[in-house]
Amino acid sequence: MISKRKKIALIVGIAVITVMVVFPFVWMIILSFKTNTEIMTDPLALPQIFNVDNYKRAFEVLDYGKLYGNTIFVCLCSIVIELVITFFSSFVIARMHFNEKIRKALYGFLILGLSISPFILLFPVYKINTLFGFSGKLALVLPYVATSISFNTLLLVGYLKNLPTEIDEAAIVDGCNIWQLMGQVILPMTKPVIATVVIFNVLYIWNEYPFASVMLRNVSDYTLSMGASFFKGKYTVDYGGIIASSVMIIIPELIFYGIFQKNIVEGMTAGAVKG
Amino acid sequence: MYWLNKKRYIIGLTVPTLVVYCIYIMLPIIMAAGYSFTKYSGIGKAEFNGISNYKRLFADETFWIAFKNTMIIFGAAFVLLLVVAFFVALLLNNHLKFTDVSKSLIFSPAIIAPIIVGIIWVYILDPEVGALNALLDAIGLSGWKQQWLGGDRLSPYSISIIYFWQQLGYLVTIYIAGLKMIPEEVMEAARIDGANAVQKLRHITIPLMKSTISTVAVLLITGIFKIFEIVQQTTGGGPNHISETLVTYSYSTTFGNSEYGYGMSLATITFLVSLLITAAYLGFFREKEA
Amino acid sequence: MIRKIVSIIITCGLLAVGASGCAKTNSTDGNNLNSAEGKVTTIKFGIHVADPEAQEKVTYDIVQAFNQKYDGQYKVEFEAADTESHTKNMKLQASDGTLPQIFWMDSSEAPEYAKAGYLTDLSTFLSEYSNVDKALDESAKAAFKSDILYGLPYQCNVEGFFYNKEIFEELGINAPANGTTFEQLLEIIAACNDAGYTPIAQGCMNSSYAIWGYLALMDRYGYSDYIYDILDGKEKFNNANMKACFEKLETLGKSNAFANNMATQEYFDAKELFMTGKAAILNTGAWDCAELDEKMGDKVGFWWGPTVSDSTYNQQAAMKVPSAPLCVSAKIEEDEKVKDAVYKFLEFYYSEEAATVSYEGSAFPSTNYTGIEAGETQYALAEVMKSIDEGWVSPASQPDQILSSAVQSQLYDSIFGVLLGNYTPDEALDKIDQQMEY
Repeated sequence: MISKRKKIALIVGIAVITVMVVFPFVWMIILSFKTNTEIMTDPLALPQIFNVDNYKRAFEVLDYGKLYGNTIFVCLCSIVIELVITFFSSFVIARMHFNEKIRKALYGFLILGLSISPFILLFPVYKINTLFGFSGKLALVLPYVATSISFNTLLLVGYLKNLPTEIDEAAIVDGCNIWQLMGQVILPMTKPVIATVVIFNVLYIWNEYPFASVMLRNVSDYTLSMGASFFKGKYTVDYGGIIASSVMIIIPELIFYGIFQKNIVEGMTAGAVKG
Repeated sequence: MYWLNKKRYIIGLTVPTLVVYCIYIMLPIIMAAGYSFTKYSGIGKAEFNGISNYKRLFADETFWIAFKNTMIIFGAAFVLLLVVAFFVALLLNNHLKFTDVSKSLIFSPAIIAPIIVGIIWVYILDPEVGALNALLDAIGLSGWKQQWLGGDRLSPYSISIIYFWQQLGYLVTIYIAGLKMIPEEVMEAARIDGANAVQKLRHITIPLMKSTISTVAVLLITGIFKIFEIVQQTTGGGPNHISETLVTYSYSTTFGNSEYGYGMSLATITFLVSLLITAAYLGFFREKEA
Repeated sequence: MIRKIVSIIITCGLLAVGASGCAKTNSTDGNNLNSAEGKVTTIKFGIHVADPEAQEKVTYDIVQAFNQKYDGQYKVEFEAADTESHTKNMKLQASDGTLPQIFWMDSSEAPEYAKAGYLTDLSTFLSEYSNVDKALDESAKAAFKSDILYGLPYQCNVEGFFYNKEIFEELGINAPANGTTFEQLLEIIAACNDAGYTPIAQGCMNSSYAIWGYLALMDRYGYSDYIYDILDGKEKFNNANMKACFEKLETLGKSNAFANNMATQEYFDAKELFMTGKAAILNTGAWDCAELDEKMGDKVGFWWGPTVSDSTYNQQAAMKVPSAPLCVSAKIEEDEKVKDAVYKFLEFYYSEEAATVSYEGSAFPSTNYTGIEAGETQYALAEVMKSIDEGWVSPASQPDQILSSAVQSQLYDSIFGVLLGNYTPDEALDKIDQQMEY
């Protein structure tokens, strides 16, 4: 349906943007095959030999099985909890009937958190966790959930508000109670936004470093993001190791993004229309 | 509408979120603000010292430099990202096969670890060994070479570019989700009515995207005021605080100088400024929306 | 729907139980020192790098040797994190009582720990272990003393300038040596620039602490003489001597002693510049000896930095000083077995055996055992030892380490400010004075 000329223009435009944005990333992959000296002295050149020493070192120093496992565990726990609670509260704000002023206040209150830089929360959250007796991986879950609330609320409320109110009326007339309304009627229509929320939160947690470095004491609890810190000593820096371990973190993320994007965000356009 | 009015559900469904939020976000904010009225090294006891941290803040040359830099980044990046991401999303909002790959790739900068972002961009923008100046030399435009980083003027602009590069894919993804919400039928109807691309854009796409644009704007404003790792890894806020931003300054004061109290006062002010600008934007645009 | 509610509640319940379950096991980790069977006492050593085996090899080797020697009795385990995280974590752990028994701490922050009562008085240890007492010089024992002796030096820092012998041979000029004057240094700088070498490799980004070579210069203007007066408020940083010192630094900057992109280069980049033969002089300390040996072999020389003629103070100032302290948590007093383990470890750490391990790893221990020679391939170490043997006088403490964190940061900022030409000496010194007031 798109004319040939438009198609070519589109392709060129996309290609240009992609290359510009991707070039540094590709370069990073190239860098990961260079020795430390090569990286520091001649960063622009191609490596002499594509050696995998950096990766070997990264694997030797880091227990990737544990790192991936811990990260996935923390991710899953956080995502499940935050999706449930923010979906509930966003549904309330976006679609339930109560005082407008309170609604605006509640929404504003929950969005506030976006303005907070995470490192401010570091020490207080640690103290709060100590108070509750939480530590280790589980001590990360609640802070991650909390920091996602503002973002999730922003996106979910924005989306849920736009769904026509007739849907609710129709469903209730059909005899749905609140759980059926939320779970079986509204939820399926929200999939694109939920997918977006999941993608962003997973990626945020995957890369998150400040909280992880403070809450996780045992090396056996470490998440992927802490991998890079293993290569930075006080007076020495193993750039090759840092880059290689960073590539190891990113590849699953890209795959995850690719799959999620395609199957869920795209696949649900039909649902959004028919709904 | 029965269920939608039931107080029981309204309260019950919001309570879990509120509880987690209040304990892990609001309480720490209050604690941080509380510390901003003390002299505290992070160890031992905090000494209450009234508003002297704030007095120091407003007289602090470095604070104003950080503030200025943050506002420059805001000015440079906000409109640029808001608009360009939108058009890129339009470009990518089609069913061509390779746009999927493109989307993944454009998104990739958002997930590269900050330390790598720093390494990469220093090697591009460094005045001596960087690729940009080398390129300018190679194509004979040596006169255009600048101190992109580490100098006394251009660092905030360079940071904006890096931030742009990093956030583009992220914002494009949100825009695309929003675009997908526009029912095909509406677009079909417009085409049948003979609307061309620009008209479709102005009268259908943008109005229907208002809520998404608003979302992106809020994310941008709050995001810009939180920029931290990029600056730390490319200039370290230096040299001599020249490229300091609000967050890097409060971070280095808190953890580098062990001046936790003063650092928290900087953080509190940053938080308030970010909040004010966001509220102003929402206040201004919410009216238009209604 | 009831089922849904029930399942949600059960899930939350399970998660909560799981959380508290895991929490319990994790939170006792730090406190569970003695194995129930009572045989092996384990103590934790909080170290400031994430990978001790690779990044603090000497300490790692000493710990392994200790564990071997006291196998079945005592065991030392590392609690490792990169320097920034380590500093944060120690603060947090101090506040909730889970500090490791022994830990490395930044010199400017250790006094705060002592003031808050988190550290034990090590003079008790020294009185019980006279062998260690003898092995440590007065300066090592006085470095971390306030109301109590709150720390003993982790190692010994020897700081100055390394230089590339080959470059100087090529340029046909005299390599710098102890006694080279500031004016002669300027000539060296000019010659290097003419030949296309970076005269002094100096990183500045996120490397504000990399001012080591200039510390001795500060002493040549009497810093260590009047710093305590300054800290007591009787004098200012902006005095005639310090101003003259900072003017010298300003001159260095103006004479193109440094690379043009110094502001975006880190200390590691500067090191690389030197090790790949592009810079003539490197501002660093003896901790780099092992790396310099590996990358440059016998091309490396060492000197204490330039002397000046406009100062009345002793020009033969060296910089061989205690490094950051090892501190011991006050909680060890609560458990005799743990206290014993800690004391035994400290005894081993300051023993001659450990000193030998240190030298083998090209690190200077803080003890004063004599007769340990540098190995054949330890060129850099040998050069440093040559300078030490010339007998120049070092201050009791490293000049920047006796300042509080904030003032220390400002000192670094001010030094770089004049090197880069961003501050005048007056401005730079005034900033430090102002920081003193906060």
